[in-house]
Amino acid sequence: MSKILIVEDNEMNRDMLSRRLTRKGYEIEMAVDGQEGLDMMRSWTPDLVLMDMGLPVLDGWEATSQAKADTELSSIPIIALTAHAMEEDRQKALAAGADDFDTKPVNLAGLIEKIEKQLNG
Amino acid sequence: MSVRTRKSPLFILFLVFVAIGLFTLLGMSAYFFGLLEPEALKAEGISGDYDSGIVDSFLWSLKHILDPGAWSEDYSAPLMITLIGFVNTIVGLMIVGMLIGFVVNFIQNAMDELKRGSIDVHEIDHFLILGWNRKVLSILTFLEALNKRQAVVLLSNADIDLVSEEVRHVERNFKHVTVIPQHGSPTLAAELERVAIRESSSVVLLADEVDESSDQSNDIPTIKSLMQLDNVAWHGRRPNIVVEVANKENLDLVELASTVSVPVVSSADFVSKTLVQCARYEGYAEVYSSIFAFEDNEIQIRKMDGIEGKLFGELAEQLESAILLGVSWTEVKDGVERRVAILNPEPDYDLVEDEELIVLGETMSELLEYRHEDAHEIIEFDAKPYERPNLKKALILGWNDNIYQTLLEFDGHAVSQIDISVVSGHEVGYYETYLAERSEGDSFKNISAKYLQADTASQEVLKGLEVDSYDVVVLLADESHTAYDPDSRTALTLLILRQLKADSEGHFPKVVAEFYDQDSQALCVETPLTDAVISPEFVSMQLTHLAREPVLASIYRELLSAGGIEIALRPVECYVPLNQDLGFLRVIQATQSENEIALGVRLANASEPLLNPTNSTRFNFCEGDLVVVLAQQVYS
Repeated sequence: MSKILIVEDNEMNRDMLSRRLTRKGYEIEMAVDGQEGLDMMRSWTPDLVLMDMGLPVLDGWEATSQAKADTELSSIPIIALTAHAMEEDRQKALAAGADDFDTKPVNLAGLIEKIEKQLNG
Repeated sequence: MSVRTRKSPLFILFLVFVAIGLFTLLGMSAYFFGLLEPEALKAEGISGDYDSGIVDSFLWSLKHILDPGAWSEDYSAPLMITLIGFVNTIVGLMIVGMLIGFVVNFIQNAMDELKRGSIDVHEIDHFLILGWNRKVLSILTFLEALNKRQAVVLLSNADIDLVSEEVRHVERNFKHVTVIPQHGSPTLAAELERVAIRESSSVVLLADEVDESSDQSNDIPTIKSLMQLDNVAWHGRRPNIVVEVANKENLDLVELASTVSVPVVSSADFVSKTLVQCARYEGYAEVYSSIFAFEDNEIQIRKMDGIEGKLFGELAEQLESAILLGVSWTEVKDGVERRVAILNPEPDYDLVEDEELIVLGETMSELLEYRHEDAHEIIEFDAKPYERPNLKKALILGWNDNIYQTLLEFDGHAVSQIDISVVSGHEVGYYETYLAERSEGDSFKNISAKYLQADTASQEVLKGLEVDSYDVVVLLADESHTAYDPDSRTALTLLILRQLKADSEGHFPKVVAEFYDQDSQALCVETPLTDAVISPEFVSMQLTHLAREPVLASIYRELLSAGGIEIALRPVECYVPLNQDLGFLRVIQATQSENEIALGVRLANASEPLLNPTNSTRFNFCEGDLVVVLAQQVYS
């Protein structure tokens, strides 16, 4: 069972994504801000991270940059999630080190495809 | 309502009966002095048939005690009998006098206690409001609108005469709600026991009215009361508790005060969020009221059989009598049970049996499923691309404690930079200090705010502000001029804006106003007002809903926070073509394809939004008609 960490400050988005991915057979843990996300990446060592970009305390871009700069965490694939559906946001997320990008609200089938691609890639 | 005095009346009644008994026995001693001899019987007018002795003497004695006129019948009776009859009569007069005095005193005391609000309450399943502010009357009105019998107990330190008078004013028209105002401190355990807190079904803790003479935050008594509630032994029957805090900075303290999570409503936060949503979407306040004001439709959580395996979007199309908004379930994590609610899941969300549905519908109606014949009505057309609200220039007139939160909300919802001008009666130094104290050095990310000290109810000042250059004007209930009633100033400003609009040739901004009293808003119908937020009423709606259904807390939070799901009003032509006869089902399908949920429509020629129309309702939309949707906020 693959372990996925959802880093998302919005309670409903978190609950919905967690519920749907759990039903698809993934093991889910959640963090509510970028700093907590980094801490959980270290302590729980997920197979993949779904990282919202607009986070409090430490935003998703910064958390992604820090994770990718950390040799211990850099191998964990990160899929950036954002409500900002502009190309420049996609580029910004990829520039921060994200391995892939998706917009909210998510299309589950599309997201799972991206998750599986990262997990098997 | 049941009342119990603290001095037991039963004991006094017992003493009275003992005295009557003793003196009746004393009177019966007349038997030994020849009461029942023929001579005495003749004098007493007692028929010779009565000769049973003890019973007759008992009746004779009791009659003398209870009826003073009986002694006159003793004329010509033996002396001792006349004397005993006299003593009984005098004692009887005294006992009856005492009894009357006691009854009068008892009633008087009960009335006084009722007036003072210091009775013991013996209600069950009552709605308890702790604290007093102007929202109480709105809460009472909303409870009455539910058309269910409900006792409401008010406990506060406020002047009981004032509270009773205000309550009488609204209670006059009530048929279902009975109000029991009580005077006392909600921070004292004994007082909470007196109002039967453990038997209540809902408890609302209100922030007291601001006391200008005190340095203490008006949230402190609320926090103390919450701590008291934490110590109550509920015996498994804990009521729904909801807390209002006046200052958002005290939210952390409130969370610390209770070991159990309770919904907390920050009134400043809530009002400012609503004001900014109104600034973004014209007509938002009306839609919001229609959903939450206990009118025809309300948000409910309902169980429906046979949903296993259905897709959310599929069921949304099939529900005839309600709009499907989301799903809810209970989950247990680390031994803690949690109620989860999510709004606007994707249409391909597959439902399972243990989930309940979050719907917008009439309270008592059934969730009718109906498969429409025109379910596959295909209409090809070029949908108008939706432009998200992009405010660039906003004018805030007036000042109250919600201003900082309002600026924060503008900042949170900004798509691009917003230039905000704030105008009020306070000096510039006051504004700078106020902002510095709250922002703790953090500047706003997406807004630049400048301040001007001026009279917002002056025609010259408003002319000089070039109002028509703004996208929106927000009128806060102005407390910067203590000599004037805030609503009166708002009405004055609106009158001047009406004149400015008449003189203006082109664009005129949206005008959003905050009022404290609904009657004041009613005076402003012929003004350029686009949205009115009656702040005590809006906050009361939320408090009343949460006191009845705490699970709605996450839904409220979501609907009003920047970045999540929101209620939005969007042009019809973004979804379906204009000037074409089509069913509401088509609108539902079109919104679903955008991952949104259609709640209803706001037609340009109608005074109120139409929410939850049946799927088969036909429309012929024209320009200016809007669809009310539940949608993820996206900034692009």
